Parts: sequence; C-alpha cells; structure tokens
Amino acid sequence: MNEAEILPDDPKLTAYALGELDPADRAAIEAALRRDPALRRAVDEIRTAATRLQAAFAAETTPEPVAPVLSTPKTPASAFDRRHRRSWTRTLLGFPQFYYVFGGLAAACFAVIVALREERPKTTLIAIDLTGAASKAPSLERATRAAVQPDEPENTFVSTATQPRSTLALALENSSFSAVRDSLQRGALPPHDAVRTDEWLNAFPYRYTPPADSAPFAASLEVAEAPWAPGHRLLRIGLKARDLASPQRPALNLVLLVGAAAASPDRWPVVQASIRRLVTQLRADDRIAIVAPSARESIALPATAGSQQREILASIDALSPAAAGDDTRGLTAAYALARSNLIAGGLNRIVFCTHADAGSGQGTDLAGVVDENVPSGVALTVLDFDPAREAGASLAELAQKGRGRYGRIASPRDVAEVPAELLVPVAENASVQIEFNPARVSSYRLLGYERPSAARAGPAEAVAPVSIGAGHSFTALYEIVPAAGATGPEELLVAKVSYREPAGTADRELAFPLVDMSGRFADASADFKFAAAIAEFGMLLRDSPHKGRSTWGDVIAWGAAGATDGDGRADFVSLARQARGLVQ
Amino acid sequence: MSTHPPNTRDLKDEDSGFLARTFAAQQGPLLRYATRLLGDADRARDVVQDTFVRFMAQPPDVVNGHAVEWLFTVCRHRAVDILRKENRMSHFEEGQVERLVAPGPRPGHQLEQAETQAEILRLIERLPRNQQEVVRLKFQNGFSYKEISRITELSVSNVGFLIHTAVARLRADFAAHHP
Repeated sequence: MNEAEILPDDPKLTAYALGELDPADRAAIEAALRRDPALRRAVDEIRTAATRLQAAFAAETTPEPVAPVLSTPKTPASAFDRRHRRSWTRTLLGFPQFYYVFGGLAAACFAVIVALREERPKTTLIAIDLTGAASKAPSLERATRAAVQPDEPENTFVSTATQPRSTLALALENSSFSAVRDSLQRGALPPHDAVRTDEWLNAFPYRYTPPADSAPFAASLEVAEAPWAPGHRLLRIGLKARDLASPQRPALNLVLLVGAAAASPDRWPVVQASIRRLVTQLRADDRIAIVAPSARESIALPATAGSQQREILASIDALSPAAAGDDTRGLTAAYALARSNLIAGGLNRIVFCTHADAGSGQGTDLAGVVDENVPSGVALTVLDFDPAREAGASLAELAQKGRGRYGRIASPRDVAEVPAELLVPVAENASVQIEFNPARVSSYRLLGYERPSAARAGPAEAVAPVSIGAGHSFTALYEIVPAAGATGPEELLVAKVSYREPAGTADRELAFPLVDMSGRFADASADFKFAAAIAEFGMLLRDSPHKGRSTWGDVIAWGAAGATDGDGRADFVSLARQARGLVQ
Repeated sequence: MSTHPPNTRDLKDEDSGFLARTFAAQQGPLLRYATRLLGDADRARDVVQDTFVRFMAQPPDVVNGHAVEWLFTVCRHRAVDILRKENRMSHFEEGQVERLVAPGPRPGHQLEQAETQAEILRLIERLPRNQQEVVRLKFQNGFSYKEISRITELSVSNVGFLIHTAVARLRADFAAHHP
C-alpha cells in the first residue's frame, strides 16, 4: 500500500478502527497513524461513533408483538403464498404445495443454496467499483484493476428457473477498449481475456432517445434473432440518462479553459470534438466563455448566451493548437470570468481541458489558484485527454480541491458524453436489474461482464451502485434461449432501473417491460446491428465457445451500420479489419 | 435436487437442543431484520417462520459453525424475493420503510443518554437503505464485514465503503447537532 494515500476519509481507516483489516493492511495503517495526528483523531472518532451506534441499537426495542414463530407450525407456503404469489412465481415454484412445505430443498430454496455455494468465492474478489472512472479517485481505480483476475472465463447460460434476475452496474471502466485498440494498432493480437465485450459496447455512443418526461432515464430495449446462433434471441438493453439540454437543471455559467497540453496537435481534434458536442447541448439561458492562454489573447470567447450556437462553434473552430501557454494564468482568468458572470442558484463551472502529463511542475501553482477561488462558488471540472490508461492522480486531486469532478476522455462515447456527465448529476445509487419471465425465457447469457463486481445474477443490492451524470448512456447484450412453446404477447422481461435523485433521500425505481415481437435480425436498428458486431468481434477475438456462426465479414458489415461522423464506428471497422488480418 | 424431503424428526437430541437455542436467540433479531426489509411485521413473521422451517431441513453440517449467518442470508433472500415479486414499483419508496420501532427512552437509562440514543436512531433512519442495512448488521447484529458480504451479496470492499460512508455521515450529523 502506498503510505501517502491514506486520508482521513479512507474506508480502510474505518475498517481498521473496527478491527476488520488483515495484518498487512493493519500494519500499513498503523505506520500512517504514527505519522499523522489527523488520522489518529479520525480513528478515535470512528470508534466513538461505533460505541454510540452499538449503544443506540442495544437500547432499541424489538418490534411488538413478537408472536412465537414456531409454537404453531403452520404451513409456511399456504396463507403466505396465496397472498403473495404471482403467475411468474408459480412458474418458478410450480410444485405441489405439500412438497414445497415439507421439502427443505424445494425450488426456491434450491436457488438460495446455489447462490450461497457458488457465489461466495466470487465476492472476495470484488474490489471497489463504485462511481465509474469519471468520478473515482485514481487509487480506487488502481485497486479495482489489481483485483481483477488475470483470466476470467466468459459467462455461460443461466437458467431462469434458478435465477430469473440479472443485475448490472450502470457505469463501466473502459481500460479494455484502449488496451485492445492499442494492441491491434501495434499489429499484435491482444490476450483473449483483455477483450471485454461490456466495455467495448460502452465505448461507443448510440442514438438512444433521452427521457421525454421528468424521469431521469429512458430505456431503448430491442430484441431480434441472434445472428450467430439460430433459434436464440439477442436482447439489447439500452439506457439513456436525461441529457444536458433538459429544462430540469439550473442554468449553466460555463468557462472552458483550453489548457496548453490539450492544445497539442495530436489531441486537438478530440478536444475540439468533445467541446463542440458539449456546446450543442446548451440551453438558451446558459452562458459560455472560452479561455485559451495559448491564443494571442487569453479570452477566446467572452460570456455568450447558449442560444448563439453559430458564434460559439465558430470560435471553437478558430482556436488552433498554437504554442503552449500558461495554465496558471489561464485558470486565474477563467475564475475571474466565471465570477463576473456568476448565476445565483445556477451551476457555475470551469471546464479545464488538459491531460495527465500537464500539471507536473505547475501543479502547485494551479492548486494555489484553486484554493484562492473555492469560496467564489465556482467549481472546477477537469477533463483529462490523456490517451494513456492510468488516470491522472494529480488532476483528480485538483478537481476534488476545486469542488468539481474529474473525468478521462478515452473512447468515442467519452468524447460524446463525459463532459456533460461531469457537469450535471442526474441520479445516484443507480443500477439496472433485468427480470426475465421464465414462461418466455428458458436461459440467458450476459455478454461480457466477466468481472463479478459489474454484474451479478440476483438482487439489485449485489452490484455496487453508481452515480450517473447528464446524457450518460449504457448498453448491455444478452443471448436468450426462448422457452419451449412460448407464444402470445406476454412480457419477455422487465428492465428495472433503481436510483435516487441527486438531492433526494428516497430510493426510486423505473420499470420498462419488453414484449418480443419475433423480429428478424435484418429488420433490427442500426444501433442493434452495431452492438451485434461488437459481440461477434469479442467472441471471435476470444475464440469463444459461444461464437457459433460469427464471421469477420459480418463484424465488418454491421460495424459500419448507421455510421456517422464522430461516433467511432468507422474506426471500429478498421480495427476489425486489422484484427481479421492478424487472426487469419 | 433432492427428491426426499428431509425428516426433521430424525434429528438427534443434541441437534434439537441446538435448534431450540438458536430459535430463542435469533428469533427477535431476525424479525427485526425482516421487518426493516419488508416494512411490515406480519410478512416479516411469515418470512422468519419460513426461514426457520428451511433451517430445520438443513443437514447440520451445512450450517455448522455459521448458523446465524445462514439464517440472516436466507431470511434476506426470502424478503427480497417477496419485494421483487409482489409489486414492481411499491416498497422502493423509502417512506414505506417507516420506523416500526419506537426509539423511545427506556426505563433505567439516564434521560440524556436515552435522548442521545433516540437521536442516533433518527440519524440512522435518514441514511440510504443499503447503508442502514449494513450498519445494523454490523453494529446491531455484530457481523464482520466478510459475514455481511455473504449475507447481502455485496463485496467486502463495498460493505466497507457503505459502513465507512454511513459512519462518516453519522459523525458529521452528530457533530452538527452537538457542536
């Protein structure tokens, strides 16, 4: 453990205070405690809080009245299930009732036992994967990666009779995308377990419709035949968070700061694309200014109303990756500009476009400027355009200091969505659970998600919830084996998104049912075909036992489906061609 | 899957003594846990009864050494199953998990101490539900992070994070009330 990384807010400190650490971690914490009185104080406080909690719970009265549970052994399934069972449950537990009553290993119980026996070993491997790469402290990200097993087997088919529910985390890492892309571009086949279909699916933007009403999420569910497996269905779960253009947020006072490092020629097209994309989502009552210290004058665009799209975009086009300027001077100017245009009750934000190599040597100056300006109420969001895979620790700290968020732009989806996500939170504690109807689905296979922390069969609580920002999209694929003789317009599944409003306290849930209309693959949407191309790409690179009729020709044909400028599909096709050349 | 329902009457005397002791000790904590999860004492009783029936049917070596953890795990599975199946939308509004337990002062305690404890319980009620659950499993039922991880199917680090976040919030809240 890096000794410098322990802060008073480190969960390990709480675990230490409560006696939950193993000897190695304990020793590391104790070394840190000897150095840092603030940590010692924190440990004392945690222990005091623990004692108070125990005392408070001990004083709590038990629910009244407690009828003796077992004095009259009534049948547990009778009255209980008459009231609560529904048709799906009946499908699951469709045994004669007496059998259920007396059979300790009847269907439901069997499911429980399976879950207990088979899933336990997995849980110990899961590291913290709480908030996605966008907002997570780099040390957590490293911890997550270190805990990932080197060679994770693909998911196989799960029977809906034992486990009709599957839960997914809504934000994913994208280290697999950059790793596999870099490897292919170097002309080397990536190790087969480096190809994570879930991360690849989520490395690209899709045309999902954002919610039309006040709900924070809309679902784009689609099902058609699985092109690689005749008789199987392919299910696409698409979710889209309320976007930045929504009227349901305060007005933005935005100052874009184009850092010297971001203005280097190789990164410049990506920087321009991502800020152009951000600008097109502004509302008329928003204000935006641009500071580019590398330009002849610091201020490239004075505060301008969001309705002046043409003027704003023209000023972005006019920016050029000129000689390096001075980020400290630029940041000072950006704060001054943001302060002079402050919107009371609005979102006052500086967006600092830079990359992780930047700040070295200047870091302390930048931090000093941030410290001076924190009381102004202007938050600092840091966009890291570093193509390397490690997140920039110093930049994440800078954003934290500036009361804003840090995000790294590494994939086409990041370019399109991350800047807006970081500015406006839409939901906290979000996860999605797919509840299959056993009458329609016999078994299902989740594509990708080899890491147990990101998906799990079982209740929603099993997956670490994440916070979701404006415009975030999410994609997952399942291969489905239909139940025999399934006909009629009964639901195939219900996708349930659970979340909490950013300022709220209540847990909420949205439910999106899907009926399979027996659609053919040829009639599916372009987004669906593109996702199927990624699925086959992953299976072919892994040489998966599930690849069936997958071919590189299909990957390349569908990979181009619906391609438009900036969505990365053309790049995907050229990577697929490269991969085909290396495999064959 | 076994096709022979186990006969609970075949238990040896020592086992039935173990069962009786376990029922007596765990009935209250399990009821409280299930009531929190379900928001309804009647259904909680059904779930706890069902859990014990399943428990009796287990071969002793399956639960040996971790009977309490087993009971909480199965109880939770049953409760979550009911929540999921009986209604898609309801029961996820936090307001439905009303405080069913009155955190009132208890005779024999100093009034001040009782007020403090009631206040702590009120602060706990304001935590997100997943935090409330792990905090109770830790500080009320005395489970370790690893045991809570197995009961709730959360990862150990996630349990640690939830407890850490909850304790940090309680520390801050408590400090705000007692500057």
